Amino acid sequence: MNEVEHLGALVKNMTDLHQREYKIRYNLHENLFFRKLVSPQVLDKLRAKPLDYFKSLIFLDYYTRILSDNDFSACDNIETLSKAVRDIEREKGIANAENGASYFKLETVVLETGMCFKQKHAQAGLSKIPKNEITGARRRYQQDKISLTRKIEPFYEGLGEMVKCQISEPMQRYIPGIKSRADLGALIFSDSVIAVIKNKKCTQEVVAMLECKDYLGASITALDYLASESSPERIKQSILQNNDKR
Amino acid sequence: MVKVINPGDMVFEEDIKLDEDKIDSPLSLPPCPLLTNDEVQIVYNGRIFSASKKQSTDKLIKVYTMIFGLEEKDNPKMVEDKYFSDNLGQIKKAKEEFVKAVVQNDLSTRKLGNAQLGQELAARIEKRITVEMGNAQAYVGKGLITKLDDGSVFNDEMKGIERVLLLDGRVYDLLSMKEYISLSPKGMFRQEFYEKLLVLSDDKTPEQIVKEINDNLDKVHRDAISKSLPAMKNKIWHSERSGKIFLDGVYWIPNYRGNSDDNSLEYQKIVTAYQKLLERKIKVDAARSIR
Repeated sequence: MNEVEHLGALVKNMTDLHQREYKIRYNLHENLFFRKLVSPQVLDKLRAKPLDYFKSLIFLDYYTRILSDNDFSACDNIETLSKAVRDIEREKGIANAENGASYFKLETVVLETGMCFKQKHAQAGLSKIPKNEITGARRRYQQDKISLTRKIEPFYEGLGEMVKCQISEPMQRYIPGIKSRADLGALIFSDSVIAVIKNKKCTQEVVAMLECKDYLGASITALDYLASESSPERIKQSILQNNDKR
Repeated sequence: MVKVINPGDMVFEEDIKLDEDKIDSPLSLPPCPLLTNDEVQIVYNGRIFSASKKQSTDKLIKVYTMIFGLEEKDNPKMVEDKYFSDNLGQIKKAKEEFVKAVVQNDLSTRKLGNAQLGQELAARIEKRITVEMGNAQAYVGKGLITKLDDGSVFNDEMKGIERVLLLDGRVYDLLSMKEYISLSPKGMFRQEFYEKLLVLSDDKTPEQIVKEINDNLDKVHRDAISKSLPAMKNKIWHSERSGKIFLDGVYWIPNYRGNSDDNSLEYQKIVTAYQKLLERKIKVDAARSIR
């Protein structure tokens, strides 16, 4: 089984996260992607550039459902920020829709999530993820199991390709080790953080964990680094760079 | 009360002893494998296709960036015949149990002839077991719909699934590009441009149709440009990552049949209706074989 078939088979065997179907805007494989991989709370809040949209959705879904114990405040923050940017654009008479800055790139989504996490823990006087949160994340992670009873078929292979495309090329070597929706989320989460913060030490540590198939550990390490590198200035900088469609 | 069963054969109603309520009860049989939830299925005018790695230029389905051929499965009649022969023993037993449950006294002691009773029972089964189904035109517009005449229960009796895509427990009606464009809100396009799009959609690709729209935004209502138009275009074609279905010389756009929060209701309706119709055939056969 190649990487695409492997991912397709996993997605096919995942339970649905919801029953929504977007009748108007999205087509078959996009709706299936949403149903299998993204919780509705995330779908409702995120506006992102077309090319970054699906990866941002998985990034946020993993963060909120697994790492953040279904606390969707990061999504609320992102939505609030996006609306604020859109209001400013409207005041200036700019109506660029997807070309505008209110449609975020993955970088903005990642940094804003890091900032949200940082603030939450700073309020509690913590600088790192506390142990009890890691235990909770591990429990939720382990519950996200898949039993492979349905066989892969071409349609889902196409969906597997769609999922594979959300993982950067250097990280695609870890696809065969993915055994659950949580593994997939953790890999995409770590991949996104590495790409955004470009911290060599973070990359090394995350990769070392992925080599040992510790996807959860990799994502927790990535989150720690993300929190320390996220700042309002970086987010502002990132939003200013959102002014193109990609 | 007197009832005429065959011209010339008169019997009293009270001699026809049937337990009508048992006519509806389901038979203990496995489901027919014609409709499977395990792969994408396109039902098109009575023929069934699924995605295949065998490439084809005139029958294809594109999923994200991958293109697959559409391969025709065994026709419904063949699948049903195989189902009946594979489950012969179980079906025979189910028929016997059905007759025993519905016919109230010993066949050998009744006044009514057994063949007549069987005939009456068959008529009552057909009257009583009905399946509510939509019709194709209600779902896919007024285009010509033909169906394979193969004598199967699926093609003879099922209605409203002449042009559908079934995927993961969901039902999508297949609309041609022309049918899809004709669903656009009135006034979205200038009339002459709208008519041109309908003509073009007969032989242009989805990419070409979207390009035509993009090149003529001055002919699209202002309010639609930022709202309904992007949504409409997205379903037709947005990029090399768009889906596409091409079959019988037409590009098809899947249109979800259920409500947006519907839990696979439409799909279950189809599966249940089909099984019920198959069972009706078995029950009628059982009735007619009463001797």
